[in-house]
Amino acid sequence: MRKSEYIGWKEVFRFTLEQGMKGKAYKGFLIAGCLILLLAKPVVSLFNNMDSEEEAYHCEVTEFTVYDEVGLPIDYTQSLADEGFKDVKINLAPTMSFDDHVKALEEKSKDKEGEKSKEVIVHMTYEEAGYFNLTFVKASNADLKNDDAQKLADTFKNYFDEERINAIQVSQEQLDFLNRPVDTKLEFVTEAGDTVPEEDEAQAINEDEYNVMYILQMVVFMIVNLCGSSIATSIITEKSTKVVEYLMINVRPMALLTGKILANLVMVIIQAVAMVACFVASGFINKAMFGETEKVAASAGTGMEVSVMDSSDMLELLSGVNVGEALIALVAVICGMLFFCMLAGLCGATASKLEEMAESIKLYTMLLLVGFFLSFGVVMMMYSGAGNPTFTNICCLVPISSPFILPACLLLGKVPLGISIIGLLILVVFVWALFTLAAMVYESLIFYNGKVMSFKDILQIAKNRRQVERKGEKSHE
Amino acid sequence: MSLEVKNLTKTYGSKTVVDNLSFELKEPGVYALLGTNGAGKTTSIRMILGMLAKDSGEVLWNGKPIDPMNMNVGYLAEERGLYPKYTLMDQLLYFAKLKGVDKATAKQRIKYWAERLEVEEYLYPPKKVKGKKPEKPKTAEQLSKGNQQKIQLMAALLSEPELLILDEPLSGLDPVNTDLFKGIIREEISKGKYLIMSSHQMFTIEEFCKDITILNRGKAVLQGDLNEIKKGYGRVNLMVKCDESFADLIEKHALPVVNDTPDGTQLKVTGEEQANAFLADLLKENKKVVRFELREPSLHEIFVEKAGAANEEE
Repeated sequence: MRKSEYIGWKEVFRFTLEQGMKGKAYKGFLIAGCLILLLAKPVVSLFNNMDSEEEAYHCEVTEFTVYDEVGLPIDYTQSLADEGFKDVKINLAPTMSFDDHVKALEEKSKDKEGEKSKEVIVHMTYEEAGYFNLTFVKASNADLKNDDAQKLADTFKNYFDEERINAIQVSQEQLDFLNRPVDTKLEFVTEAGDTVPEEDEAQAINEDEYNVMYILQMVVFMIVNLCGSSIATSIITEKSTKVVEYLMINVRPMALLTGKILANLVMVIIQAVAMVACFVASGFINKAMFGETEKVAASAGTGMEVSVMDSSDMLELLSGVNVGEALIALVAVICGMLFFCMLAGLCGATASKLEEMAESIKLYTMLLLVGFFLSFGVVMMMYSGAGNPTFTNICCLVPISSPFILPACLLLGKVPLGISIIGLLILVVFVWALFTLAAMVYESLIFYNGKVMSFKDILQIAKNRRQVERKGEKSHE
Repeated sequence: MSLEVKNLTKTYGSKTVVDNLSFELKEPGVYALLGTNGAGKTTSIRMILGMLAKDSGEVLWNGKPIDPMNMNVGYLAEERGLYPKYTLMDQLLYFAKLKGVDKATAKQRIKYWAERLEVEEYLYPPKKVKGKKPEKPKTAEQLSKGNQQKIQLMAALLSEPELLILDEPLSGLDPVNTDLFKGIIREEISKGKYLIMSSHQMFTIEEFCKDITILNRGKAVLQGDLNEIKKGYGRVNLMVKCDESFADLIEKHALPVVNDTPDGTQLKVTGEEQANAFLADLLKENKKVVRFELREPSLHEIFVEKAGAANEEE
């Protein structure tokens, strides 16, 4: 790659950036995205506040009879303590059996003329199969909405769940401790009697780590995809409108490609930074408007909770990242963008008309999707507790998946630093190789008119070009 | 200044599209590259401009290998192209910037050429009129083909190039705009510029060009000074028109008829002697001669003959 091949890239960069940012699509997407993110938190909080300000929930059930055959020492008079159930009369000493009560409700429902029931009964049993059974019954023509009965049932069940633990005098901490997963490890004993642990230990991530990895992957994928398709479109447009004929006397093909890639990268980075800034600003606006209440907002009276996304936990996860790791992650993302953008540019140049775009960028689309799904697979496996370190490391080394998975894994300490550095070096080598290939074939591709070329054809052009160069070198000698 | 093209060759796979092309432009003026469709004119131009890598040969400007990146070259491509969605002013400023022309100078030159080429209304929309929405600057897709061609010519001339390459500059233009373009080409010649022009319009080439190369399937089949080439053919085209029929005399002199139209009968003669003998006979037979013109072959005839002969040989 000679320096002269890149003369003029600055002018191409400036023009592409200016025109791209002037474009209605770019401005529209940027403004809409920023507005949505800026308003996201305050709007969600506003709706939650409106819900809480709405008239308090009032349950229409007038009588609730409990048939307890479980026999745990639980005070069911407190089971419907929420404000919404204050008018519900709880009957813990029924005068008839559960079956008779059900029959009485059936009879009542047959009487179309009589007063409609507002009663719910519950039959609590412990089944031999080893579970508690709570059967809630109301008359079929009861003057109650299903929602009322359901809310009552949910609230009663939550109370029962909490109190049955209290009844056996086990604290929540003890229960959590007992419920912790059991890890199994396989070790091999050698002839010398040493124990050798099995190399691969299942990787697992919690929900916050999953969120961080998922968001990082999605952001990189979106940036790469937007950038790549924009470059391919721009190259095919210049080819199909023949502008490239004029440009080629002033700039070399590689300068044209470089200017375009960098301009598109800057455009997408501006978009991403603006959107992240809006998201952060949204948090501040929300805090100023609604205080600290956004994390959990309770719906009045029902005992149900609505959680609102909070980025602070996710940012906390990244707080332990050192500068070196952050730098490697950033370079990996940039190299990934360059790799896919260059690929998109090369693929785009194989078409002559805009209609051929989808066909021409097939290879780019396929590699992009395979790379993304590989890395997404790694995250999903880890989230389900079945992450395989070997597979994760391989994905961090393969240049089509490493731009998506390597930064996330490195920042969360899910991949060794050594593997990250090797992965980054492989990516750099591939970017360089792709640049070299582009330098050899881009000129021929840019003037090519005809059916869409395959990657095999591109390699053939590179081979021919190399032969011609060798001939030239020999004749100079 | 001089431009030398030496043994330029380009192959695609097994197909040689330009084969050992050589020519020279020693003094200002227009050099014509002629050829049938697919003869290799545009590929040759692209190689001269360094857009396309040559397999062998060299192009020298003032005795040194040409470097279009670092010299002032203007180019009007055969396949016209402008960005359809961008404003014309933005595009022209960009093209000027690529040529190293600063913004202020570029704006001055754009103004001059917009007036000269009568495209001001597209580049400078009228300012806001009270009660009316201001007009937006025009984009290329809003222009007719001819006007797009004018903008392209402006782009080629903005840097005031020392070497101007025009690939089919007049194709698709109406007679009024053809004259406008011809006027500009004449002006550039008078400024002492070096021009290479490719065209299928032979009359235009005859009007401007001193030296020519006729390409056929990548090979130069005829090259040199156009007047000398014509002289070499001699005055062998005889156009005769009489009030009466003179078919008997044509038969008597065994002259091949090239064309027979109401405007006259075109005959092929071996030279002035045969023509004079034919005229003497016409007068002897008391034919009323309305037209008797002995001339060199036109470039069109030479082109058809050369291209046709080359094809027959192959």
